[in-house]
Amino acid sequence: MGSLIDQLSLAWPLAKRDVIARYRGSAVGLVWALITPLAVVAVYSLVFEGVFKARWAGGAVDQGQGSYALRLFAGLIVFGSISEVAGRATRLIQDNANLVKRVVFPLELLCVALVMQVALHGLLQAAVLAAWLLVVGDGPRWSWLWLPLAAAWTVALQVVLALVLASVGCYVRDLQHVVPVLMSGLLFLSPVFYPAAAAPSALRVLLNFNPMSMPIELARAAWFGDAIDWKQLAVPALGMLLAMYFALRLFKRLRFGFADLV
Amino acid sequence: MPTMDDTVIELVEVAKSYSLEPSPWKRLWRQLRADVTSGPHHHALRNVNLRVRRGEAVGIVGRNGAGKSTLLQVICGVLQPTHGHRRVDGRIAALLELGAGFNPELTGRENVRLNGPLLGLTPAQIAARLPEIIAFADIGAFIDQPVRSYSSGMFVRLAFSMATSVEPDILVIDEALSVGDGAFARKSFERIMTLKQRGATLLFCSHSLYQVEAMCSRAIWLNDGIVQFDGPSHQASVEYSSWMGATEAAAAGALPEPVRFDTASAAFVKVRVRGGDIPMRSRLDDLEIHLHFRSDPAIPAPTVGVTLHASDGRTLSSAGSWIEGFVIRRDASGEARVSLVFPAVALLKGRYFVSAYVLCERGINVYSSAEQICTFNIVQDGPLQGIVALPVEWQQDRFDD
Repeated sequence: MGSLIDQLSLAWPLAKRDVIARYRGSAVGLVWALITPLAVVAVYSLVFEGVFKARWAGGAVDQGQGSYALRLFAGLIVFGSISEVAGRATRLIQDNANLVKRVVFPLELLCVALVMQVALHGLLQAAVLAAWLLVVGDGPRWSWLWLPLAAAWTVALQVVLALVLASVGCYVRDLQHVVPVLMSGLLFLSPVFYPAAAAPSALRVLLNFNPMSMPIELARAAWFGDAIDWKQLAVPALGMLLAMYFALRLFKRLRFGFADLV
Repeated sequence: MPTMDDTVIELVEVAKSYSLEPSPWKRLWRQLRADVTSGPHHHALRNVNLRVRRGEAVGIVGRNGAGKSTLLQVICGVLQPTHGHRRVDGRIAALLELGAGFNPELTGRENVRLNGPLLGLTPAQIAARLPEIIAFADIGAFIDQPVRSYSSGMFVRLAFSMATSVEPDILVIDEALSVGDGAFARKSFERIMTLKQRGATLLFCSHSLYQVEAMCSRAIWLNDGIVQFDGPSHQASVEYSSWMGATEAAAAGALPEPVRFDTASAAFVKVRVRGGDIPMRSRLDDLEIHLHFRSDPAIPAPTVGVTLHASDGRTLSSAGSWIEGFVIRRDASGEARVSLVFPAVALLKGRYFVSAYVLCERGINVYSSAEQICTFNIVQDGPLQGIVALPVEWQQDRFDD
């Protein structure tokens, strides 16, 4: 446990380094972390709500103005942060070649730092969503207390993906090209534009196997006070823990070959 | 088990080979099965046994591609040996690449603060060391400028200052000393020596045989990944340079490009051979080399070294004021004129080069280098062959021996 805290305190400066470097010299800096997802929400809700006349399916009653956009945003925050980690993880080892070859330090830190950076952006976006909900008078709610649980689930999934994709991606470079395509497809096969409950049964099977479904649904339920089916969470949660264990083992086994490959 | 074992680095039958397997899936599969030996390989290190004791200074010499860097990387733990065992006790500071992890967009201060984890330092630990790191790097107001605006010298100063701030038990240096300007090279050398005096173990890899000999009592000569020699550094130097001489004579290369530079610490004004345009008579005339240099009066009195070379570039002889214990006196502005005399020079007929160097007071850091700066000719009476006339005596032996 002590070593976990040590690791976190070591990864934080590395994450900060990359965040600062990313926005250094740009006029609005960290605001870009908000502009991008908000623009995406605007476009998607314009198309789905304005053109396709989509309504949020399922039990929610308060289908007021902008409600579709808000629910979309809630799902996109989770999906976007997971897919960003996945995409960048495939190049993580190659991008840090000089560290991998020349500096002695626990390489897992690179994965943890990546998740931290992305989580920081996610946190900012969540703050904007919260502010937005407060402005339209749709909050706060007691169910917001479940948000940390959704966040923890998201982070756990991010860590698993980062460890697996970074280590395998170092060997099989094709992942750099496969993962982005996969992610843009998965956007529609994840419950982002619709609740899982409203999906046709054929799609439902896919959604059950998509590890992103749970954190997305959980986050939305927490934001909007939908009922949470706790019994359904048990098996995926156990699965996450197992996945975490195997991801760490995989990374630790494969890391010995990194320096030879980059 | 011995109670006190002061071995800090131990390599037992270590080999490192790089897989030449082109298929990524096969590589992945082999790594997963921890079977890294099958398939085609390039062998970078073979069967290396090494034991380094606490406080030892070990130099590693060898040609490019001999496996020096691989050996250091294996010792540091960046590379995993394919065979054998590695055991290292204590904290390693690896100066394999200075400033790895520095981001050019961030300021020097930010880079030091945020790259602390790469040295195993927590934010609190790095914050405590920050003032000292900045003071040692001595780059002034540039510390708050983006690193991309640094000169390469400033970059190295900051990175070196940071890398050595951790009080390592083992310091691994890969050619890092050759960078930086004269004054800083001196400072960095002082720091390395201080760490060594405090008991740090030193591993030093360099092309410069001379530096290895000056800093390390023990040296390893690597060739094609095999340890050819492990022992006293002066002996390693002999083994290595004679082998180099043999292979290079076979390759029949031209004269090496002369290295000439000055630094802020010292600069040659003039180097000349007295009467250099007139041929000297072998074993009759004195060879007098006059050296005139300027130096920074703030640094301790520098030393001067001179080497004589044959026309094919081979070094024939050398002299160093620190070796012979000659103290050079300078005037207030740091200028000095000295001369070196080879009485009745014993060289045989031919054309010779003189190279001269100004060095630090220990004779390790080169402040100013003037290689092949002047030439002289020797003439002789008689048909003696060779480059030098060694003293001889003829005797009549009995027939029945």
